[in-house]
Amino acid sequence: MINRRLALASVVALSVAGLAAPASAHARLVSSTPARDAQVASPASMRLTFSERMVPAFSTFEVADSQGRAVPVQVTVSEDGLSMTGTPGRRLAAGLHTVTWRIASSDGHRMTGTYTFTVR
Amino acid sequence: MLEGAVIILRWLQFVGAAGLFGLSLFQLYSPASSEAVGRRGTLVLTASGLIVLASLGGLVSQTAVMAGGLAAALDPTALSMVAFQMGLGQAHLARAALGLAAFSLILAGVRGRLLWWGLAGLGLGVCATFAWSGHAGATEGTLGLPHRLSDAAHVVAAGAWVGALIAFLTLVGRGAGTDRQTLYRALAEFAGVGTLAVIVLTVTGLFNALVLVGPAAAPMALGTAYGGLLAIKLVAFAGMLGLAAANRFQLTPALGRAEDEAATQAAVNRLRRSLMLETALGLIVLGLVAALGTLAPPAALI
Repeated sequence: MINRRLALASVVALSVAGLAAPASAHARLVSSTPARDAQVASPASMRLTFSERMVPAFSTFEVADSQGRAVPVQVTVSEDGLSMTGTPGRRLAAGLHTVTWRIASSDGHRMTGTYTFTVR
Repeated sequence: MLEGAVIILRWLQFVGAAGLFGLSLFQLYSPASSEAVGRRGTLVLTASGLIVLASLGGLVSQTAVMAGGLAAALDPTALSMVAFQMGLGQAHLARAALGLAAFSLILAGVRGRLLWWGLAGLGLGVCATFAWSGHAGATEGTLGLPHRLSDAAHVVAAGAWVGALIAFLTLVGRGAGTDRQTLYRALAEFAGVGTLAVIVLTVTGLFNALVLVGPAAAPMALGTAYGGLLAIKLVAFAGMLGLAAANRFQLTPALGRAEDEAATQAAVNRLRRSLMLETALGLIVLGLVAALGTLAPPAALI
């Protein structure tokens, strides 16, 4: 009798917990160079700055050109953990480029985001 | 799905902590510790094992969330980075180690008050580690240490209360055969511990809410997933308070006044139902807290 009732309580508790499963997104991209929607010459380096410290091992970003092909980028995270800098391995061709970033925070959250900019 | 696993494993760690700490503490302060320890002993052993397994599972699942997948998490470099270089990981490892120590202490044959002091101490440590694997672990600046201390105290008080509820259930269960006078004294004398737990939970809860929600974000908080779950948590907490008050001021005195076997049985039955409901709410609160740990606190959204 006790076991069945407690089992029911456990199911309820887990259901409540399960309903709330979607991930959060509380570190915001504060600024970037090139900025979102900017029109720039091919950048020698790119920088993304966030509102919260990120865990370097799980944080990076990727760049894809207008054809969806990946542009090789060497990414490093700053000392203070608030920004990451990337050096493209080659000149970016003219056209729309998509940046996709993913970071992890020290309390275990994972956040992703994307934006585009255009190379003249 | 990974987020769901994180939440479930967090919940299991909380339940294990409450079992280990709360039940052991109960054996130290309750007059009912004179009753045969049977069920409570089994539960404490189970809780210790649960802490070990759920903490290690939690470590892997949390790494998987950060790394973007289970395969990435099982990479030894990623796992050891989290386990040894992040406060989050260290807290999980410490928890598993403390749980293992508790498990070993019981299997080693230690008995009597020495055992319960040892287990209560280890359980206290397990409860405290949660301050470093939750949101308090990420609070920076001058508020960091106060928040973590407040969070640790919050978990300790919650563990004491939920663990005591589980202990009482073993005493009022059908067929438990608890001596009536002992049961009455155990319930009546829990008032002191219970009141202390509620005071600590309220004070530390308010402080934690101040840091994680804060006055600036309060107006929009209810519109966030975090704020919504927190509101439900507070309602459940209020429910537990109501039931505890009913136990203390109505049901326990009724047990004390019962003059014959029939009245005693009726009083025990009512207490059993009330305690089961209160425990169910407690487990729900732990589930809500497990989920809250994966959501963005309103203060981080503004």
